[in-house]
Amino acid sequence: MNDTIFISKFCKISQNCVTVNVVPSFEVDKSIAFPYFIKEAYKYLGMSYSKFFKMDNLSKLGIATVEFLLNAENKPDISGEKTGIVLVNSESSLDTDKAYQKTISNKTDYFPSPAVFVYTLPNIVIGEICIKHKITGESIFFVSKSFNSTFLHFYVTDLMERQGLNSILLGWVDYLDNEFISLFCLIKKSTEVETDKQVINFTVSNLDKVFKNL
Amino acid sequence: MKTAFVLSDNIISSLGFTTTENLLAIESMKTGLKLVSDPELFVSPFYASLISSELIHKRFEDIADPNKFTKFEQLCILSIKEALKNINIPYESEDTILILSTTKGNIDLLDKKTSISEDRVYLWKTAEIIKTHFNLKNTPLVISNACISGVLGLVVGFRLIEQEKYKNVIVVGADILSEFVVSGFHSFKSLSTTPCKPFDKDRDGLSLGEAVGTVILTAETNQLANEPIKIIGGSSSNDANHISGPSRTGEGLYIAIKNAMTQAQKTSSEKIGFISTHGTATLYNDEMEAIAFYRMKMSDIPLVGLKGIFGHTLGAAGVIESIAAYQSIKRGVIHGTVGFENPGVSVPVIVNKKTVSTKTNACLKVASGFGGCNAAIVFQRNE
Repeated sequence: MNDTIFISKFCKISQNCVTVNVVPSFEVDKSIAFPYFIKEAYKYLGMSYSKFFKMDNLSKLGIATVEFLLNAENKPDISGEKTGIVLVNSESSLDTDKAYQKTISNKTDYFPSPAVFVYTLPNIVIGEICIKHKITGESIFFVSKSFNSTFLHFYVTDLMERQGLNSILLGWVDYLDNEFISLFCLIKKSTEVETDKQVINFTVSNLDKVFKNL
Repeated sequence: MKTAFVLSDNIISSLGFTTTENLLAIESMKTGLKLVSDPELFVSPFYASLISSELIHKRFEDIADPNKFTKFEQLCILSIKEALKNINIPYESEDTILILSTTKGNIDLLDKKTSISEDRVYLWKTAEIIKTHFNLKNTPLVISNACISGVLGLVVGFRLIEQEKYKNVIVVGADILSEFVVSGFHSFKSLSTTPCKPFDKDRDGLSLGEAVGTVILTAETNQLANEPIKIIGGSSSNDANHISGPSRTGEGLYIAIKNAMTQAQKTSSEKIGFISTHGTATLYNDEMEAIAFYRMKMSDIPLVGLKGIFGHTLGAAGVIESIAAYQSIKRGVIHGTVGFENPGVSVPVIVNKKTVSTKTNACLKVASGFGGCNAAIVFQRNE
């Protein structure tokens, strides 16, 4: 018999407010721009990860969301090839795409930078999370107008039941022109879940409920 | 559980608008790479494989108004239409889904002043345009996962068919060349000063290309030709090492191949006849791949690299190179590797130099990309 699959925890960041399982865990004033908000979040998390400051906004947002999420976990170690990552967004890497485009638009002021160009792919945030947490399992980045619970439920279930994964970070992470939102959940098999009343069965309708506020 | 069979396909590249034209060019080792001098694409000349815009425009006029579709969309539509030509699937029904694999889609819209709305730069939006053109029922899936997007599209399609979510999956991999992409790879100092030389000791970087490939996967056996090709394994993995440089140990690719092969061996004891490599001809990529094959004890399997023909076609690469690979099983050949002369990696490799007639029944296709991503897929002739 297959193990039961659960949503262990979920974390949302929007409007300068971080919630874990709907409970606020960190907040700064809404009027503060993303670069300052994310720096405050970094300090609050007690992170010591200099690579963070080289990242684009999308990657910073993704990394911070995972950090808040794992801080709330009793068993936060998700390293290795049994963890997968499935991310979705609507705007791909458009924020950095636009920033990169500016560097090549003017022929007399032409300064394309590899450090910017590398972030013009949405899956780089997956790469950053994998590096930070030593995750070597399956990962994929989908681009979609909205969160497609039915398909993502199928895909994640397949990864857990047929592709041998034990835990999955499933998330939505979008950043464009200082507007941002992210929502990640950690999905585990019953054998991996601590006895915790907060777990939610991994069903299409529960996924819908968790991701409804995007 | 169902089996995912290949029902039909299409490749559009600088070498032609049909799979057959492309296969004949590959078999005769004709390269599509040319020195391109186009200030709209880059300030100085560079080697790339470009599809004639005039030809695209001319062919598309027979289908719809070229002014209402971007070059990217025109290519995707032309390719899907060609793949649908001699088959009969209910693509307008809920049994069929489209998967679009691309890295940058309509990124050129950020720069151009056209009558086409800039919101088509959203990848899901361009997928919707294609959906509407063909009157598809289901919302397409879009995969944007760097240079493994194409292989991942096929892996996702394979799983959807196996698990009976859909009867037919249309997988399209596409990317066009733009100043955005050329200047970016140039800034990385990744572009070769000559046509690229996969696995060669003198390789010094990649050549870019543009292409689109379509593979129609099906669970239905009634329209299949004799000995059809099926997918028997597929997986992906991350290096967790560096966002723009491949792992020195080939770790991620090794894991992806290991998992894809384990899956394949559950239903098949067929020997892998050759490996269609990613083979971008950058120093680090080819070295990393060779190490992953070595660790898999696959060093005695012939390697094929097609980037010397198509260039690196990004999101299209995994699809068009997969088509070339399984079609070469059907045609009883192993393709040559244009640009390769002498091995230049630290472990033994057998790179197939010239196209040879050899009967094979199964092959492995791999891909790797920025973000440390790697993917592997196994095709087999169904006997």
